Amino acid sequence: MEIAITGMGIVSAIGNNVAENFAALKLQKTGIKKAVHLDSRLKNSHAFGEVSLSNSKLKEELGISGNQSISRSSLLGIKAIKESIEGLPKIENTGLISGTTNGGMDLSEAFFKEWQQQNNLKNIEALLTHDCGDTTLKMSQYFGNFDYINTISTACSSAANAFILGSNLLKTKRLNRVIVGGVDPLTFFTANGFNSLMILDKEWCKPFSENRAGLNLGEAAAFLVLENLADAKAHNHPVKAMLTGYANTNDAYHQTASSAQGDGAFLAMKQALAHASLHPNNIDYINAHGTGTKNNDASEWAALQRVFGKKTPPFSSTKSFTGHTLGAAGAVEAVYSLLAIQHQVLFPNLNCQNSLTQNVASPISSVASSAIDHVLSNSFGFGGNCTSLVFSKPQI
Amino acid sequence: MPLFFEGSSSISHQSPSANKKLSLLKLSNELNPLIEPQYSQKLKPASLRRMNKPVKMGSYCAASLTEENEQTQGIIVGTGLGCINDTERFLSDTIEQKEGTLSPTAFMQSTHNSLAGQIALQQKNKAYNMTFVQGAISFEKALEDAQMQCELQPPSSLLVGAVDENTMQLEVLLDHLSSKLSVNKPFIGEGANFFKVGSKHQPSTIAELTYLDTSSKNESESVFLDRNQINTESFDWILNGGFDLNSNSNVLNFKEYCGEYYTATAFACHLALLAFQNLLANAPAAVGSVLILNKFGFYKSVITLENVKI
Repeated sequence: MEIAITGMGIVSAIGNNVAENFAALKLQKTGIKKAVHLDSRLKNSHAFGEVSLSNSKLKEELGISGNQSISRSSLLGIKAIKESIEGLPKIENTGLISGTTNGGMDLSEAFFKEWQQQNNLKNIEALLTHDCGDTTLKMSQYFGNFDYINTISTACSSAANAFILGSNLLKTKRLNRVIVGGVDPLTFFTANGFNSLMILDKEWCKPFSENRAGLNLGEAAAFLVLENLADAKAHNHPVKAMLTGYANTNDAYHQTASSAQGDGAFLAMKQALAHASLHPNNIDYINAHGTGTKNNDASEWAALQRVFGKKTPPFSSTKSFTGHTLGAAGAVEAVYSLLAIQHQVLFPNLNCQNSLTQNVASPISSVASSAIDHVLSNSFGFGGNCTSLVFSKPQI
Repeated sequence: MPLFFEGSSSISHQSPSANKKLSLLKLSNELNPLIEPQYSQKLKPASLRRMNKPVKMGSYCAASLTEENEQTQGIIVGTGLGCINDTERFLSDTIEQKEGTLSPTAFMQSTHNSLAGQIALQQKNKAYNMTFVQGAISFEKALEDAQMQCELQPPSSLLVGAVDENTMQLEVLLDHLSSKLSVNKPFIGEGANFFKVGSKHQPSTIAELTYLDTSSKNESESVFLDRNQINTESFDWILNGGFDLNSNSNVLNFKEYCGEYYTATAFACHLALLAFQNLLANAPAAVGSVLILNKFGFYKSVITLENVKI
């Protein structure tokens, strides 16, 4: 079965829909700046990729009552899902798979602060939506319940894994259509977590640059619609791109660090290419994981060289626009991979002053037109989880 | 391709009894602690020191099911709340220290995939690695993924399991929450239950997964059973986790023995495998088929298993 992508939706630091995200990418305009909504003192010292919409604005736009206890995860997710299915007729056996690391943490931490500091139990019901699965359930309920829901939490590869699970559900005929993606809001918990690991850059992150000093955290939701190509064609659903290859591997090296030679990343890319029946030189653009940490970028570059040798295709990390959106990153970057294919354009890697890849290749430095048939998108995470996806231009 | 069970390993509130029939004891609201094994029998002391309870429990179960140097073709874990103790700890510390300088240990270990990642590390296993977190159907989602792997790229063996832990703080919060919502708080259980599964029927095979479905739509019990064409009469033994069934000798309310937690159905699955091997005193004789039903909030699930030796 060939897997077609028939819809996409996104909300990120660089825009509240696909068109706004595309415009910002073309203008090379980052969304990483001083956070407004995040309730953490780190916003005074660090830059974040925050979605401009507040929770109350999101609720108003989505027609959700202001006093309903609903996580920012669910709100961002609902907004992106809405855009992804716009114009597509409803069909039976539709599923929703979300990748996330935070779930309802934004509400839990707000409750914990009140409870711990003032012994205030007023908002204890907020804990009912703490678990990641419940934030997906809330999204599904908004749309009158999808026939299937699932939530994946494999750290920063969560949303990328939703594509694999979704494809398998279509291929085994369990579903006819599946909306796959992920969401993670900025939270006090993760901001301080990454700060305690000392891998946050106080300035703009500099993926693949020798002087990179860490990542910027971002928040986003992105969802894409997967269908059997034959069904999509039969019903005249617009095919934006094909999901032609994927692989899920584990680095099996360390709980949080990546191996020096990028074993897991190497295997994920190699197996994804094999799954797509493609040769490395068929890849026209790589949307790298490229977090901007010393460890990730060195390890990913080592893995890229093992797969592509001296002929590394043009590559970039768009996390320099959005920040690292954790569980959502795989879906955010899937949207950008599709935009690259649709508009035949390469997106740059901002802030790379002195590439660690010198003499061999360097990340894309500015927006450029290019013939793009196949894009490789990488998502790697804590726990050694590595996933690579291949998106291809639909054949007419 | 069907999915076959080759073995199971469990940590629960019940004392395991190696090689003899297990008699389950009903849990009461008095202290029924988790019965933890000697972890050092299976796990290296150096890595053990860095593990939190769910990672320890799951890693121990995984190690019990695999030989030294054995690598399964995938590691699939389900968990409702993940490493909730480290999550609470890092959150509390951050609030208490007003976002000061914090140790990253609890944060690093709070991620939901830390168990699946740890098992991969333990086995030096670079293969497929997944973690599902869909509330009370998290274990079923892991099992369903394994079922699909068996259909699509038949693996010789996969490790599938589930874990959830209870904490002092969770008890306190659930007490407050139950009284606010005017509901009775059940006995909150915890545990890990892991299974070695594969797509080939071998001499060592214990059971076959014959059916699996979940719902998150808040359907009525009868609609759910009808839609799945489940006739409760046609099973030798029913492990019931909250459905409104006529109680008779063929029904065991399994949560009376493991407590309520998001991945309790994995414990029921373990009981079914024990019954098939004639290792469970609480099961009827010669159980050929088992129906596991579970209900929790909006979620419902059904799992049916068949004894391949009968």
